[in-house]
Amino acid sequence: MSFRFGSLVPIARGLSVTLREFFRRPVTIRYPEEKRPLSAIYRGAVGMRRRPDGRPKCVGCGLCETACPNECITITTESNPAQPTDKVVTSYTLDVGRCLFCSLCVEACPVEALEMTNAYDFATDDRSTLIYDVDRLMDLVDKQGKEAATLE
Amino acid sequence: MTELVITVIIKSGIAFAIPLMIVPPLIWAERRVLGRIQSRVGPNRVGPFGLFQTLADAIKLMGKEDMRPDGADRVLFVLAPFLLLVPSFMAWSVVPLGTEVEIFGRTIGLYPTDLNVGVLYIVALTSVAVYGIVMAGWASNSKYALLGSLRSSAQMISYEIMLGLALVGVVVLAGSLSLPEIVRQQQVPYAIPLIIGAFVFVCAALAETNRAPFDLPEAETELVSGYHVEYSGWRFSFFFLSEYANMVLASFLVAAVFLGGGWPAQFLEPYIGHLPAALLALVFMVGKVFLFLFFYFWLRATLPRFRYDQMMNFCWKVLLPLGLLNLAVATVLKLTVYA
Repeated sequence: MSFRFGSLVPIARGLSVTLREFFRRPVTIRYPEEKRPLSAIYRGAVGMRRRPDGRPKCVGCGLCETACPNECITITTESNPAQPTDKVVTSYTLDVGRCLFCSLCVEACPVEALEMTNAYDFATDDRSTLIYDVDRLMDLVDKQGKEAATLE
Repeated sequence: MTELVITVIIKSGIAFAIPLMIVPPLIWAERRVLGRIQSRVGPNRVGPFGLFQTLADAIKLMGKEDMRPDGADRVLFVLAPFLLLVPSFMAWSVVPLGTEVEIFGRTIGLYPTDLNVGVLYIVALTSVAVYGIVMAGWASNSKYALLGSLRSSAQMISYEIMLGLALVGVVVLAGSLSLPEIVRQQQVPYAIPLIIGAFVFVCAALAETNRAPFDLPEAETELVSGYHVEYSGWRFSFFFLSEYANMVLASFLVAAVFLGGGWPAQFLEPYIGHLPAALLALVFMVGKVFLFLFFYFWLRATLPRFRYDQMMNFCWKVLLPLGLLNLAVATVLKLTVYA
């Protein structure tokens, strides 16, 4: 007889392992309902900070545009007749679809207008919606502040 | 007369509804249990807790194109799924949910019919399914389906014998082929004196219903599948349905024949009255069935598949001697303890 009853022992042992697993919580994180907590230094999309009066902090110097290796930042400015030393930023867009999250723009900025936020869920079915204007960039920073507040 | 007709209609309705109603939640439960054992969640999207997942799958299957391979034997191809499904439903006409209950002054048996050859009837019907498998493989006009059907029919024919052999021991002890009578006879569940027979029966039932670790006919991890490769859509769902209906049937049989049905509720009758005891017996019976179904899932999550020769060796060189030993034990017990 090629069968030994001793061979039932490992089967019983295996059954006990699977039964123990059955009563353990699944490791699944049910994204998007549940999200994994991010690291404190998680580097997501670039966001724009606000001035105390709510306008973007950007002064329109264009250093971030120059620093960006992927050319995803586009700034257009106008001169300000009332204050010839300043520029008026007419548009500031950042194409998240091209961004490589390298943070060079953040380092280039002389007025610390940019920061790396922890936003990462930009999935969309239309690439043109990935080009963020300055309001959405400021939203990223605002939202991050709120989330950080709820985390604490 | 009308009363009799009404009870018959209700009973047959229930006998038909049980396998049909239990299979979709069962498939869901299997996927959830497997998921939990594998540290994941399992289907949880369709409906509450994913309960409607099977329903969604069924609707998807119904929506598929009804494919028939070139050169298939049309009649046999169409007939084969039915030949598999119909016996697995017919067998339910003798499956006992319990013994008798007195309601409103009437005695009602909790079984569709008390066939005096019930055990024989079930064993006979399970063998009909083999024809469905052979026909499905042959009619598909595909060498893979044919080889698969050879594999499966050899397995089913072999294990059927062990299924019958394990039941013979029970029949010897109970002195009856009627399933309700066997349930009534069990002062102690037969799994205790006939532990060997119960082991043989469980193994044979696993193999007979093509479940892991005997799921060679399907072998979904390596092969596409066996005798039903060429079937798709609702025809495929018939194979699926019959497999799960057979699984539930096997669980009911184990619960009734080896675990004593509603045992030990009948001993409580003097204390809590007839109807509560009968209700409790029903709960115990169904609980045993579900425990055994869980055991099915649990085994599937644990054991790897047998190799073909291992499976055949196990059947003929292990289960057959054990079955004969079980018969000897049953005979000795019948002449001594049960005399």
